[in-house]
Amino acid sequence: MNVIETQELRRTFGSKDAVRSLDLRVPAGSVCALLGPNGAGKTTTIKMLMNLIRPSGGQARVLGVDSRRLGAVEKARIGYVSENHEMPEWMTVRAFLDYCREFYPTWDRELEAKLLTRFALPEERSLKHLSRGMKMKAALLAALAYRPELLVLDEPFSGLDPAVREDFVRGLFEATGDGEWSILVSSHDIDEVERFVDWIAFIDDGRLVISESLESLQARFRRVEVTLADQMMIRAEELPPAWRDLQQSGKLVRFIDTAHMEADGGRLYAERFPGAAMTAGPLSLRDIYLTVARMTRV
Amino acid sequence: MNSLIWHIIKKDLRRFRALLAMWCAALVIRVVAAGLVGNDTGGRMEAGMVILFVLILFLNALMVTRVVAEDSPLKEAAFWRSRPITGRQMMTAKVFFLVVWTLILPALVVVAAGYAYGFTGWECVAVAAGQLIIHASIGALFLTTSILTQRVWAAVLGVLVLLVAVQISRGARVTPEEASPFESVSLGLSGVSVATAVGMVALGAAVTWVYRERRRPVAAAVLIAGAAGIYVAGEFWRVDFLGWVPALERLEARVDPRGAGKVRPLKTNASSSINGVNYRQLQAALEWTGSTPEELSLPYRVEGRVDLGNGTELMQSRKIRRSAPYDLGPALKELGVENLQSYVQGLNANHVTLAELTDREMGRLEAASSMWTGKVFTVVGGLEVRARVPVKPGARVEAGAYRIDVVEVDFERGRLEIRIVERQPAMPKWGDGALDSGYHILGRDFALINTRRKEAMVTTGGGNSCSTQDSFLKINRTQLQFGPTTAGQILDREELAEWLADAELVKFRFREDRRVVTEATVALAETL
Repeated sequence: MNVIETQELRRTFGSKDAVRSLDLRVPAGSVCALLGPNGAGKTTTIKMLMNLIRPSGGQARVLGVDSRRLGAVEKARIGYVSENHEMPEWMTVRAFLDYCREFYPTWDRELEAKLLTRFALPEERSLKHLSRGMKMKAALLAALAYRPELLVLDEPFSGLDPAVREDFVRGLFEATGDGEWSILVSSHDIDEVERFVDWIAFIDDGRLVISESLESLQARFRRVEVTLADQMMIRAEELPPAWRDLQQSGKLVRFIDTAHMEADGGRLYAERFPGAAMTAGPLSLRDIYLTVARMTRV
Repeated sequence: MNSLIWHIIKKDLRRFRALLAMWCAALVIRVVAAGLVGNDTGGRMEAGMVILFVLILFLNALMVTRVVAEDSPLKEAAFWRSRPITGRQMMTAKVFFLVVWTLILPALVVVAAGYAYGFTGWECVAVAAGQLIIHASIGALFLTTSILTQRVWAAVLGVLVLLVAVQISRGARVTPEEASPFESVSLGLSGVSVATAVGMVALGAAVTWVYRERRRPVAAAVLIAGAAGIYVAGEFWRVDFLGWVPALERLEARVDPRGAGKVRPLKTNASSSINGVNYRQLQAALEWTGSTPEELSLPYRVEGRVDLGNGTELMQSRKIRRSAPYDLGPALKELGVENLQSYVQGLNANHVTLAELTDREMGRLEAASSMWTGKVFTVVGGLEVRARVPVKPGARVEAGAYRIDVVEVDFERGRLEIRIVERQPAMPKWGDGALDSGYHILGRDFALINTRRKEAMVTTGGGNSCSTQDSFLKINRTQLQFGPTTAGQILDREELAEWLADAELVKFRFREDRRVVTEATVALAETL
């Protein structure tokens, strides 16, 4: 069961294709990171999923409903936090929460109180007088307090300092620790995201490049270091296409294997570099991201 | 209405509480100030009233624009868009809020004030209707532009551009107000305003759709087409407001509207060019004389279809041309004036100019043939005493909403001049004739009556007249000039002073009885 599923989803702005034939799926209960460089189409995709803009083609289903028909009932099951979303800034934090509460029958006042304390939000201060970080925390609180089935976060960490990010993520953990939550988060902050996501969708230039679990992704990507027995020049085109980012310094050769198979036990490396000493280590999500970004630009 | 709609309304109440407080204060201050204007002789209060009225229109526009911009239907980043509330619910909340505050409230304030000032029921209805139309027009214009532009300043700019365009196109005609089917000069925007108000329902439906579907290009097309349609309707759809007034049906008629008439040749009245298209206003005139010895007859509005041989044209009276002042003779007699030797009775014949035909081509329009049929509104009645007041500075008389203050009496220079200030309920232009029972012409319906000598002086004219009209209250200032008495000339100041000591100033009013005659047929006596 997927909470989000798109089929050939497309959106154009004039002559520019912002999203092209996107086939994305987010399994229920997963925490999915939507990664991609600036202008890749992340926010446009999320806006289509939230029925804020209409797709130019294709289809998206969110919680089993066509995104274009996403109504009040479905929106009561979705939490949405976006850096671009306008908030009623004239309201105090308290008034804002009171205002939001009425929309959601499932609003959990205990959770609200807990998060209010966790985020240390000043209840009587108006939103316009809050820092950016505080504002995002208030938005997250208002999105978590009714325990939505699906939480959509669009660049939530953008412009936040590390302490606020920590608060933000802890609050997220605290709220989503119990119950079945599905989260879709688009972000540039890969290190932060890596701490809690289990599914990765990478889009670039409006196209989906990768969509798989973090576990599988990390198992598939390996940084390989080879110490050659003899001095020889290795050329990239001589290597399998899945071996990327070749670097050589004397006898030391480094590359990234994007299709590593653990069961293979390094047989392919040994065949290609006979007699060489080899190590293959895991990559951080950041390195995987950078590798994929480079791959798609080639 | 479900709880979420109330929730949004309550939120907007909190959000705009300061603006609403200003709005309420402006509405109340205006009606209170209107009541004080009559005491002010310097005109400063009147100027203040005008400023206040402009402020009210501005606040109205600001409120509509901000209420919409707060939860814009087209803005992707609007907070409500990701909340579990439907576009229909949001639209209902916004429309309800705006209707209550910008339509119902001003109407209620004016009705309450009118009641306090002694307006009659019809007068209250008329002024309230005027308020509704003005605010609905403003609201519709700003609602449309604010949704499309999503910014307060852009909405204001958009409306200004629209109004300027409309006024330029209207101004290209020689007589824009008279050409308007609505003659709603006092509404400021002429027929467009009324049509816009009428089109509120259509616009409301379009806006609801926009809230639900949120397709900007289609929304823009729908709203612009709607606004254009309303404008076109305002230009060409003749709204028969008089025909809608039920009071017209019940009033008795004293004069048979049938009468002799003659048709003048069609002639060019004015021409102008808009975007290369020549417009030509042609005027066909039907001079209609209706007279009775005792009663005054005033053909008020006449419309009919003229058989042109190759088709029919709608004709409508564009102005009333009164050829003579009221005949005060019978009314003076009723008040005991017997010496009418020097009284020159006014003519009781009335003329009405029938029809204004507009043709886009310069080609000659065929002359009307021999008859016209259609709907005739006649206003008949007699003169009644509206108020009596001693001829002394500072004297005042009040009758309902009507009030006269005698400000100054001057007979130093051999003639008598009395400066007065009148206050009366103001009506929208289209309501003036239909609902205003105090319809009058300045300076024409006053007389000084000396019951001891059984003589009277009638006004010979009015000077220095000016009128300040809010949409609520009208203030007239005028200087009445009186000539000889009905018995003869008064030659010296002492005699005049003695004459005035026993005299009182009588304000007459023309009692308007109206009648609608449908499908009247008038045989034209002569075709020139």
